[in-house]
Amino acid sequence: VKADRRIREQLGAWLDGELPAGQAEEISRALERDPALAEQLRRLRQLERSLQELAPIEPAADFEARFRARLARQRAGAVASWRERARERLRTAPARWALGGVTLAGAALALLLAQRAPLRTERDGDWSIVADAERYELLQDQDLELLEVLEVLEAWDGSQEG
Amino acid sequence: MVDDDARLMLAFQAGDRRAFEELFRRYTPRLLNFLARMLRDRARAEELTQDVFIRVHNAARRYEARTRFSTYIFGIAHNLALNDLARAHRRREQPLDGGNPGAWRAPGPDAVEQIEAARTQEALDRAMAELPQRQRAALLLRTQQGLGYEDIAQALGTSVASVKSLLHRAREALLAKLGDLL
Repeated sequence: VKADRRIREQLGAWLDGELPAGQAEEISRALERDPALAEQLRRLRQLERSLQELAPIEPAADFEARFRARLARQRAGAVASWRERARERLRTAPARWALGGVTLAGAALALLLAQRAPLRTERDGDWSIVADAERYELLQDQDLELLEVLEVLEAWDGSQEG
Repeated sequence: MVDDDARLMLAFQAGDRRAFEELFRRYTPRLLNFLARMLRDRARAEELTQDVFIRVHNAARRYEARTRFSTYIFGIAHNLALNDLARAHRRREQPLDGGNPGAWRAPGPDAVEQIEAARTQEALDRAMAELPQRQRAALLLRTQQGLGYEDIAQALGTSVASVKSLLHRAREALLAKLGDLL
């Protein structure tokens, strides 16, 4: 009874071609000798056909147009918020550039010192040179990003005017 | 393995907008059918189909072709459907269209066959709606979308053994409900 139940449970996977060869062979043999299992397979096949024949649902005629409009609204919203953030950054840019200059000089000095003397290990205590170098790289990244923002804003303004 | 649809997504990631349009064309009917039968609400299914594409569009830069593209996109659709069903359940909303996910396909040539086919489809649609959500999702992904067990498991975030069990229980329930119609 247990074996019959297991075989019955695997009939769907057999129909889907998802059983390993050994198990599939076992189901095939059981189907030959068990009419009730064969009837179950017939009903499963019929169910499969009915499921595949369920009425297809077509999108509304304006589906694509509505999607494009949603995408455009979302992009416009993103650009507007990007512009606002960029304006805020521009307002604080002079201070940032000044800070950047000071940090840059500090980092350059630190790198110069680092070239003269090899870095000490963490156990020895002082990682300030490494930290400065990392800050220097971060600063560079931020400046590049700011330039990118400016370029995009110029392009955006140009397209708006056009 | 990078399938054809995943290649399109990678092309879109590299800046090819036509690749996204092609994916949109290929997957709109598939997603809409899956979501309409998951939600039993055609209008909501259209909205969620659009949500899926917006997510795919916005996530393009982070996309990695680690699974088949169909697994990736139906995974998103399934998650959105579950969230939506949970929200609808909390609001105890009823579908506005009376629960019919779409119009019936034109039946066979013979009038009796037409009536029989319509009866079977109506009963099947009703029985599908009564299945637990995960059983319904697994069955739709298998029979209507043709996904293999491994892909279904990834899309639903479960194991292959669990998919096998979900499908078995779903089919048994449908056979029991449809009775003599099959």
